Amino acid sequence: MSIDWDGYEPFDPGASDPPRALPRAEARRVFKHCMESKPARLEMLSRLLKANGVELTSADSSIQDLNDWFFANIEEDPEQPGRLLPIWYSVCHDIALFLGDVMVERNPNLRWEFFTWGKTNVAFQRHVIMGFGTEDPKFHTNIDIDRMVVGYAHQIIEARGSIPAYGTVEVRGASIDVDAVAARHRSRELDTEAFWHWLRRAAERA
Amino acid sequence: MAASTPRPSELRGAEPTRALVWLLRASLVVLVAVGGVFLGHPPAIAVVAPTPTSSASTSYDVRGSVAHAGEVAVLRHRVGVAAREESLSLQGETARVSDSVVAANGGSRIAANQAAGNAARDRLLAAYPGALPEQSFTTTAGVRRFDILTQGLVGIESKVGRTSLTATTRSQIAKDSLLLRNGDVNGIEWVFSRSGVTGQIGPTGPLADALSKAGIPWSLAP
Repeated sequence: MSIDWDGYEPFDPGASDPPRALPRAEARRVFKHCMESKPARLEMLSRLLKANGVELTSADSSIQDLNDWFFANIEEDPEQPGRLLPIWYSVCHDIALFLGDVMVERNPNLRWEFFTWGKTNVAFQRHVIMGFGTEDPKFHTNIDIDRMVVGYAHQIIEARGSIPAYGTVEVRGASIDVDAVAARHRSRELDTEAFWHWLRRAAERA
Repeated sequence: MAASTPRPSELRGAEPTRALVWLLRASLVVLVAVGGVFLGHPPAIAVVAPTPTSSASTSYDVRGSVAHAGEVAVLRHRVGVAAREESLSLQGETARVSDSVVAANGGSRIAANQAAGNAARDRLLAAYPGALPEQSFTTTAGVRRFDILTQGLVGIESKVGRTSLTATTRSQIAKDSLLLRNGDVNGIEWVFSRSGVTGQIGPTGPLADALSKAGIPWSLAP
């Protein structure tokens, strides 16, 4: 369970707010920074994995090795239940870039895109994969792979007992106990082949 | 050393050479102190265990090692790395690097690295907020908006009063199925609350069946 970080340096998004909250020009700059730093981030990820006995390639077996390593080693922040240790958000970012690149490599019509359609969209002003040939482009369908990797990480640590406290939220006059809902979904079995499933689904949609 | 060094006021009336000697000695003390810092030998630097008094301390995951002078350079390097990386995992037990201790010991470079590291960590964390209200997704069946999205990617749909299977709810179920299939969300739950107007609550039979067929759980808010 002990990680050899081998000089791993975390990604710095370069903005103090989530992309959704940034003015368009700054969000675009963050996206550009994300794409320009991608080769370095992938190199950093590759080095980290190598130091921990995992060879990073786009082969399915390597993807599963990556998934297994991630699943086994992801660490929660002991001071903030439900949250990852900060450095792991960076690892999630790097893995998402890698998986996104594999999607593009295997399906050349796919591409990284700066998502700008709909301010309430969960992917607003984030880096996503788009270009699905089987889907009408007017819907702007996308794969927010970064969010998926982080969501998966949160699922894993929650299953291990690192539980965030959401409390009760008022929605149109109704009180929703978000903790109770989240708890019910925590009992489900986790997908231990999520990365591979996402790649396969991307190929089906491509 | 300072205690044995007479101050200029104590030299009043003494020979000018004594004042000169004092000035030279004082300068030497300052030079040695400043030189020590620049040569990487601050008087002391500490990795301290978490204490209630270190309120300004930053919790780095600097595990193991080093609390003695011989390893100061290594520590400085590691703290610098930790400040940039936020979490440095070495072997051993967790220790805490105190901002105040580092600053008090003249580690201005370390403090700068630490501050930069903290800022980078904050930017990283800001990019990944927790649960979010009113989040929409794009699907090939149109936009699907959830009332709440947890950080584990569970989408929550809130319904008030008795709710039936209509074109709208049918469309919502279709979109939910797509989102689940694509892995956009890890789970979805429809939560029904009692209407303050009609006093009714829950899905009609057809809606409950449709949700069940789509593998979407639902619940009644207490």
